[in-house]
Amino acid sequence: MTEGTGWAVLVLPLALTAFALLALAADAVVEVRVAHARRSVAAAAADPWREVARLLVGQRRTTVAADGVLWRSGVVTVPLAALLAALVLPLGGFAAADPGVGIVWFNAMEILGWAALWTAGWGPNSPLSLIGGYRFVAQGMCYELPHMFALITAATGAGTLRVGGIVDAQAELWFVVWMPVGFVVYLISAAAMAFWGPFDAPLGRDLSGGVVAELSGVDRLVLLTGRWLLVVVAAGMAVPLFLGGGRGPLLPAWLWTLVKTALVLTFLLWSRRRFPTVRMERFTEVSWLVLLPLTILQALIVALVVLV
Amino acid sequence: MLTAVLFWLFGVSAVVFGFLVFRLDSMARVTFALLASFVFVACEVLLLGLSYLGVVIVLMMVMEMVIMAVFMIMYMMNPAGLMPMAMYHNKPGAMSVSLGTFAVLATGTFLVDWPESRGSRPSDTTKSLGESLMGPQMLTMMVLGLVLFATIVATVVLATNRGRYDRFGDDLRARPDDPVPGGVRR
Amino acid sequence: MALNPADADLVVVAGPLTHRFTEPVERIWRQVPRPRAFVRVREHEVGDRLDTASVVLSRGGEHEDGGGEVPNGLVMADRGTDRDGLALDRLHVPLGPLLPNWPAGLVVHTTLQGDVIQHAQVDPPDEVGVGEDFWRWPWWPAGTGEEITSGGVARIRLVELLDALGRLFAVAGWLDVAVRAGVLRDFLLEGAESAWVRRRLLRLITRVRRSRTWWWLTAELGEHRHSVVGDVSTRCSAWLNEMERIVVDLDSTESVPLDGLGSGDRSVPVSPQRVLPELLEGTEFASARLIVASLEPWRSPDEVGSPGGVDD
Repeated sequence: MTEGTGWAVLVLPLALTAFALLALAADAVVEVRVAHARRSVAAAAADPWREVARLLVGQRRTTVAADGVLWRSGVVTVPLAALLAALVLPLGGFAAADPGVGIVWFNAMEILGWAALWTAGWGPNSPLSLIGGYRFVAQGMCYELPHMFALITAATGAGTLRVGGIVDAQAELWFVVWMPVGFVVYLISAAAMAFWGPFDAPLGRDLSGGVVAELSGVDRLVLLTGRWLLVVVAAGMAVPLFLGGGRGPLLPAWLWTLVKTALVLTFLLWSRRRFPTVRMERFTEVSWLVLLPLTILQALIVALVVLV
Repeated sequence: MLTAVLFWLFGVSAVVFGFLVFRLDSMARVTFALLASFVFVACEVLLLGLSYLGVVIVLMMVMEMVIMAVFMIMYMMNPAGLMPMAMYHNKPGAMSVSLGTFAVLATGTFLVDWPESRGSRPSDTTKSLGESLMGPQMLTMMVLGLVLFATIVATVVLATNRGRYDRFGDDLRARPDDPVPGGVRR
Repeated sequence: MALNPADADLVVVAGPLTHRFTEPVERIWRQVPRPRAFVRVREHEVGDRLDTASVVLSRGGEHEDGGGEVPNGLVMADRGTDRDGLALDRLHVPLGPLLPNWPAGLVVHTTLQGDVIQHAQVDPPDEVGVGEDFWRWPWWPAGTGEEITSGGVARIRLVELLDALGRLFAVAGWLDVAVRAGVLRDFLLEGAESAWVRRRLLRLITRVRRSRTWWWLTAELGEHRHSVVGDVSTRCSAWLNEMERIVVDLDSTESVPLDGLGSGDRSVPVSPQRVLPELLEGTEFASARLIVASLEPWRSPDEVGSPGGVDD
């Protein structure tokens, strides 16, 4: 795997944002069809740009007795966490960085989202935002352990924590084939990690937006962009972990990576429309009593296969 | 040269944020000052070339501090710290004890006769760390794991005010009487 | 539609701005970031007004210089024991009267610990009848000599149920289905062809019925000892069944006798003001919102009968 720092600084944020914008536009088009709105597809596809412009000129508001430091740092940390996690994301045979502890790095940067969302919910001094922040912590307690075991299963199968090594280990057989539980749990926990539907309770409609309830203008843009980046990065990471990285016939590796990422992203977009928001009071038991034992079992099986 | 600059930068930042823990007046800010201090310590560990330990410190500390913040604030739910609070009492006494301890420990690091590094650096520190933990230090880790697990179980047993007989009735066959029904039917 | 003042550009007040809503609307207006515009719409001028608003917005919006924001009434409270017996601090948070997907005019004063509602108290409605006339729609022709058909009654009942379902699904974060319910409601109001409506409606009903996630999430939620029927999921299920039953009447031109005027069969099994506190106490915020949404269509006590409701 080739590493390139310049790539990281310049191209990575742009590429991820472009990918997110494409997904957003596609989602807006679907929305128009569902809502039977009398608008053209082109006009709907331009919606994300219009929204970006609207938020850029919008006034940044503050609230009474807000904790500005924690609020703004929480907002900024969301896209920052996504970009830092993306550093180990390979595109074909190329990555911004491929450290020996790539998986752990990815996981640690995702977890920055815990602190980010909680402080963003705490900062504005508003009960609905605060509840949104709390909800994400509760969600984190549910998705994080199965998520870690899913990551560890892939690392165990490859015998390395290096993302490039995990891709190489799938030369003959993609991990999704013999670690299906790990893959499914990864998808579920990736949606939860990006507070993405059906795990969007921290930004829930019942909370009038929750964590983003008091955010306007650029602040809102930054946090919501960060959320889309998190989704794209989470979808992108499924490819080297379980879907064989850039492997595939005919097309070049980088293109295969993009195609696979787009497929995973499509699934995540679809599941947001398909399911109602899952409340943690119900999901906690499922997570701890069903998903966690299943992932441990999967990790055990993989470990045995690797040892024998 | 760069390493030395970074070392001092991270070190001083860790100490400054650690000090802020006792100076800030909101529980949330205090918690995240402590987190920042830990993150700078993790950066020092990364500088030492122990990438696994460094990254894991960040990972664990973010989780722990967020959970800690929730617990602390549960008992004083004031968003954005409407009610200022102080992290210390007996100001002069506390300050002199803590600064004194810091000075003693810091001086100690310069006075101790640290052993010279022997042998070459392992190429993969993560691997040698794992081998050490699963080899010579296996007993330590096993005992540690048991103690931690026992602590968790004991804490839960002590904290809960409803056992399974409260939930399921005398013959343990009734539908659980929970304030909020869970997600798995049992 | 924006979910919160922070995301809004435009505040539209449709219909009369009654005393009860003046102060909340002002508070919301103060929270809307600039550029912004304020519009009051009376009947039949929606289009014109919104056009003016978009022109105002494109010019940089209205620049009204208000003072600072008023504190939003957040007060610290004493400690109180939570459901596990721990002494924790409480927040007093009023919900309503203006909240997205919330019954218009309802105000519930809650005491929150974390996101658990420890105590709830419902404001007595002082101005019932806001928008009530709308739901008497099939009866409008009464007195003009025109005939009221059971198709018209079915249509307005479907609109009412779809409106309620849309709110319930929106609160549940099931946006796709909520939007579909809203679309059907709008088409029904515009007088869409009944065969088309029936097809779409049955598809929607099937989709909700088949969603295991939905029933898993709403079962055993908001059960009341004696007065409210079932839980959120059975109430939702009852709406679906009723829609399925009455959608066949859409084409019916059978005349309806006038003695049912104003009430129809829209009796509510219970007075929400009476049961709501009991239903909400001890629930988490998301569940509470679902419970409130599942008690619609919202009816004021006088319409049900005695101010105390039909039962006790």
